[in-house]
Amino acid sequence: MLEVRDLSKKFGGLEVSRGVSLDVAPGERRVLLGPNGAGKTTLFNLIAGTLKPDCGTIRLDGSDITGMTVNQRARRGLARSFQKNNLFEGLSVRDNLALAVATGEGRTGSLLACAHDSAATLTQLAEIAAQVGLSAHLDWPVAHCSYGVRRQLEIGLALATRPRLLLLDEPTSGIGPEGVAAFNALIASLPRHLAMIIIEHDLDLAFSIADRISVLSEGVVVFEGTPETTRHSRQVRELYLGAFDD
Amino acid sequence: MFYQTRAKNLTVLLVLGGLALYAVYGGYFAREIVVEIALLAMLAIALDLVAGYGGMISLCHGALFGIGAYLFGGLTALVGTPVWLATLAALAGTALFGWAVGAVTAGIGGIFFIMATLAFGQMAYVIVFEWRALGGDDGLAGIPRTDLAGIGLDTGDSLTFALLSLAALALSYTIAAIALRSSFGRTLTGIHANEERMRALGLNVRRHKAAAFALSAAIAGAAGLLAAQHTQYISPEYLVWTVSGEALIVVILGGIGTLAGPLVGAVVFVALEHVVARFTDYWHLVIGILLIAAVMAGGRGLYGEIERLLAPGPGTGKGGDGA
Amino acid sequence: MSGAEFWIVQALNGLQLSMLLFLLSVGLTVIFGLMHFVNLAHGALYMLGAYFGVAMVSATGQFWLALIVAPIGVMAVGMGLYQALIRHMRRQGPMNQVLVTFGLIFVLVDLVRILWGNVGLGISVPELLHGPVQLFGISYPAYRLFIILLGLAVMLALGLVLTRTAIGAMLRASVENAAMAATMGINVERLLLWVFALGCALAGLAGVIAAPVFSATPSMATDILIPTLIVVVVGGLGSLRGAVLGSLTVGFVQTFGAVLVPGLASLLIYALLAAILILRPQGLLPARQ
Repeated sequence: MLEVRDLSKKFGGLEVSRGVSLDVAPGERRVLLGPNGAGKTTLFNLIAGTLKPDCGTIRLDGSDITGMTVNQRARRGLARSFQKNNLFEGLSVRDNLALAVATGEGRTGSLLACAHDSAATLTQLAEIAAQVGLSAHLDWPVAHCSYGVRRQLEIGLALATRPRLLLLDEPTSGIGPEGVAAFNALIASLPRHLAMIIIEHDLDLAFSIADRISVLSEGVVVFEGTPETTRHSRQVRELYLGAFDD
Repeated sequence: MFYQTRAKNLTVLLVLGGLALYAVYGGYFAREIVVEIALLAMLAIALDLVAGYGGMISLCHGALFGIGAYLFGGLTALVGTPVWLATLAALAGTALFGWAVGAVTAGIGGIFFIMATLAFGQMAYVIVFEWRALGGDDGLAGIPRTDLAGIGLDTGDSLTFALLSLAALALSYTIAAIALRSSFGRTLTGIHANEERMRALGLNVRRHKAAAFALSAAIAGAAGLLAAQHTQYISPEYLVWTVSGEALIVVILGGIGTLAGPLVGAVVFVALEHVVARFTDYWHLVIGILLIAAVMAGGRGLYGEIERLLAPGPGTGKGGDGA
Repeated sequence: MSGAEFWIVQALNGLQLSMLLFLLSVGLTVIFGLMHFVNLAHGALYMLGAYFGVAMVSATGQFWLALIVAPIGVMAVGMGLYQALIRHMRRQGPMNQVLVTFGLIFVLVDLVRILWGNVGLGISVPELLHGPVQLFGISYPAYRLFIILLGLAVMLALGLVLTRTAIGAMLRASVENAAMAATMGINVERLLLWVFALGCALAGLAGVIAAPVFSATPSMATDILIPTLIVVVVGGLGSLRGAVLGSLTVGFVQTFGAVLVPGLASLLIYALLAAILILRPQGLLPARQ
């Protein structure tokens, strides 16, 4: 469903992506591993359209989206969460999700229709809130929520547009073991037709949720394989300096 | 997120009712003041729509007001266009100008947005100022008022015109409130709160900002064309950037991002101007100090403070429901 | 006057306007670059400089004394404003900065009207700068030439301070990255105050030297403001070279525009501003690349 070919991106003299290629099949769960500065988030920004590549192409469902804007890509079923929480501060959790669901449905432009949402929207909102464990927090202003709750909402906003390809940038960073377990359960509960690329540092989690794993280093994909082959790859082991010894 | 709360209902009704009574029982001078307040409040509502709810701090709303006035004045006084057609043309023309400004500046943020709107407003000012046919510096006279004799109203009468201005203000408020309550308005607050996220969710932010600016411009243009009808004379002074600055002052004094605040702000601004003028020529000194004090005190404005006192629980720092 | 002479005079007039704009914009741009603070009242300080100059000359008859004292007076006002208001406005976002400094314009303009009235007040040019001088075979008012030379001298001095001295290095580092500069032991706060003060003094200087040409009026505060903001945006925030290029661009476009396309000169300037903001918002020569 996603075909990334030879993406390169330079910032000044620094080559952050050096010919990255990546294929993700429909419904596939791909985890991106790699040390800090390997270019993982840059790759997300290139796929999502926040950054324009210097060269290379990105195809989604066979059509070239390289020249498309962020919102055009989103309308084609691509959603992302951000490494740092990127929420609607000052609004409640409910309003955050309602905005995201309505925008996903394309109901943004009507001047007359009251923003009171249809039953279908409210159902979807409740469904997503339940999925990410926010049902009890809907009326909280985001500003008063704990980091963990905000992190859940970050993922909720990405899910709210009913994407077909979901990019999650370090979804479990800073949420503790309980949060990681909840995230693991969330991923397992999501429909199998939803493809995902997940940047993740927790290796146990990565091996448990991934169908395949790609390892990035210095702006190129240095390894790709199943969790099993990744676990035993000498190259990956060297890159992580014995991190897999357990 | 915008909610037409009971406090807003009450405030708007009190302001409109009070002004109507003042117009009915006051003399000619009172009616002139009521018109002045109503038109300034319309301009401030237009500005609050984009600035308070969309985060687009515009310094070209004076120009939009002036464009409405000049389109109406030019078409009626120079071309002889019927008033109803000139009204439509003025509304459409200002909306189009606003749409263009909104579209072109959509990618610009912060202080640069303010300066870009300043640039476009000043361009309009220079064009009007230099356009000989429009009277240039001397302005343009002989502008007719709407003829409502058909429904038994004499718009030449000061009371009738004052009440019509109040009706226009009520209509502007209602349109703005409906727009803000709609999914369009909710999306606009979403852009204000987090533009990047709205884009990631699939929104064409530029198109939305341009549409919001167009709506705001149409309201500002309506105020302008009524001002042209009121004095039956217009001058390029309407378009200068300092007029936009004054509109922003009205919004701030009343409460930015509250929609009802601009009505309060306009009443206070005009009333103060006339009261101070009785004692001194230096009205700007007073308003300057008030403005600085209002911003330093937290910038919630009069209505914003009231709303904060009414709202239970901890405030979120900023007044209003703009984001 | 022959065709060539006419154009030389226009070029000198353009240069003279550019120098005034430079004196005003250099302070504004560095404050902008250092503090991300927009001071709309910068034009009001220019107006104050002119009135302080008028007051000094009418009290002492000494133009040269006024040229030194008036900028110091404006600097004192600026430092007072900085301590009382501007310091607190730095992290308040552009809207509040615009509003507070807009309010300051109102206050300062009305104070000037209270003290000196609405009528324009002139300063007579000192004996030495009376009359025209011969230059490139044309005669040009000596005083206007003096403005050009003074502007160039300030430009040169600032350039040397910025590139050759420790203070200049600190300043460049702070514009580039204030947080980094602070960790390197630079007292950014104190630097800001003095930069702000210097900017005010230069605005005051521009005011005094403009007074004999245009005479001091309350409208100076807003008339000069927009061209100065345009210089800052066109040149690029926080950059001395940008202020030079921006002043020359605006000064010449305005002067030659007024001759070639009368009436549309200011339209050109605004169009330039809009184009820069849309196409190259960092300006032509930004301090930060």
